[in-house]
Amino acid sequence: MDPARDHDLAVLLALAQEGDRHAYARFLIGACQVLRPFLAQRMRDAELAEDVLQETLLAIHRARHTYLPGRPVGPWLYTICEHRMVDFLRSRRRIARVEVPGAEAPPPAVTEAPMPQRLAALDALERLPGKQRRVIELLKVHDLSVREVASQFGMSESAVKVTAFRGYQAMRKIMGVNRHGD
Amino acid sequence: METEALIRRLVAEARPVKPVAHPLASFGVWAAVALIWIAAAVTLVGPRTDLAVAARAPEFALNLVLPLAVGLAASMAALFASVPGHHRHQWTLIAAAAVAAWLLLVIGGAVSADHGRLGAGARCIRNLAAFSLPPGLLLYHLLRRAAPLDRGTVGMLATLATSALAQAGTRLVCHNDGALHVLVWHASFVVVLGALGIPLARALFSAHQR
Repeated sequence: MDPARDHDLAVLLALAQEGDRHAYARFLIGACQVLRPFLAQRMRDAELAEDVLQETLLAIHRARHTYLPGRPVGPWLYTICEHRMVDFLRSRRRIARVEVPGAEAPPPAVTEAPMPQRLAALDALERLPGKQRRVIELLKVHDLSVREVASQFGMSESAVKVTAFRGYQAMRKIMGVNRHGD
Repeated sequence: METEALIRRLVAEARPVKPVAHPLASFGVWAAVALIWIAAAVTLVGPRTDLAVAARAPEFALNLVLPLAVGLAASMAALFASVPGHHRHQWTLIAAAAVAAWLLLVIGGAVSADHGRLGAGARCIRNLAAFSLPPGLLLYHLLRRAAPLDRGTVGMLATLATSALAQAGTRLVCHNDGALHVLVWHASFVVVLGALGIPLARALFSAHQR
């Protein structure tokens, strides 16, 4: 990133930390312009690169308090993006490992939902406490049965169901969906 | 279009945030609190009566200085690694080199003919746990306020830092300088706690910090 652009983004992010939403919007748009080519160089699939870009934006949002005003923004931005890319690729490999190999094998469950819903759900899932998150990941992402999850955690099947149910409730709350079944 | 929608959503959610402290400032606070705590704990437990004599032995000094170096370098590495774009590999390397040197010293002593007696270790384990708990809680608190992207590494460095500093403090109260005793009751505590830091951090540093 050239120094002038870095400076512009740094000023915008510092303003965003103070609560300036207009500056924050400009910062995020500018970050996309910087990160899209960065990801395109490293990932062959443009659609996947866009997925990683969106996950990076979520990570930037959660970690925006860790930018130290007055410092270059490039290293901060690229570090977050690289970690999201590595995490994303790792999670895809994990999903691929638990799927049945073969031409008829369905694509990873995690890529089936429309992107905005998937991102919102993944975001909510990531905010859950450790055990709830792991139980729901195994049930819904890795498609394990309640019995398999119970044996992995050394829990009873009913305890797995209760943990998952509480997790779903927490996810609905995080996603701002209050009506049961939404 | 979808990315634009996401940006709109994030902007709508945005609230003012207070930037985290610079890792060096956090390190200064943590190191001061940890060292004061360990000094107070050593005073409370009671320093060994033969401290002046023991301090003349080079092994004793190394068993004090090397864990101290591990503690300070590992905590520095953990705090820098928890702020994106600030990771400093040199602190991790210094901590790793100090751990390796200390373990070589202890293992070398334990396999030598003059390895000393094993002795009881319950009191040492209790002291190590008590010495490391408050600095450990403070360090995890500081790290949670930042964004440890590599949770496992940061967690390992954090528990290694606190247990190594506790080990330095424990040398001042433990009368048994035998290498076998230090290896079995002291070094193993540091190594096990360091390893436990990986799953601990993965559980404690939730995904919202990544």
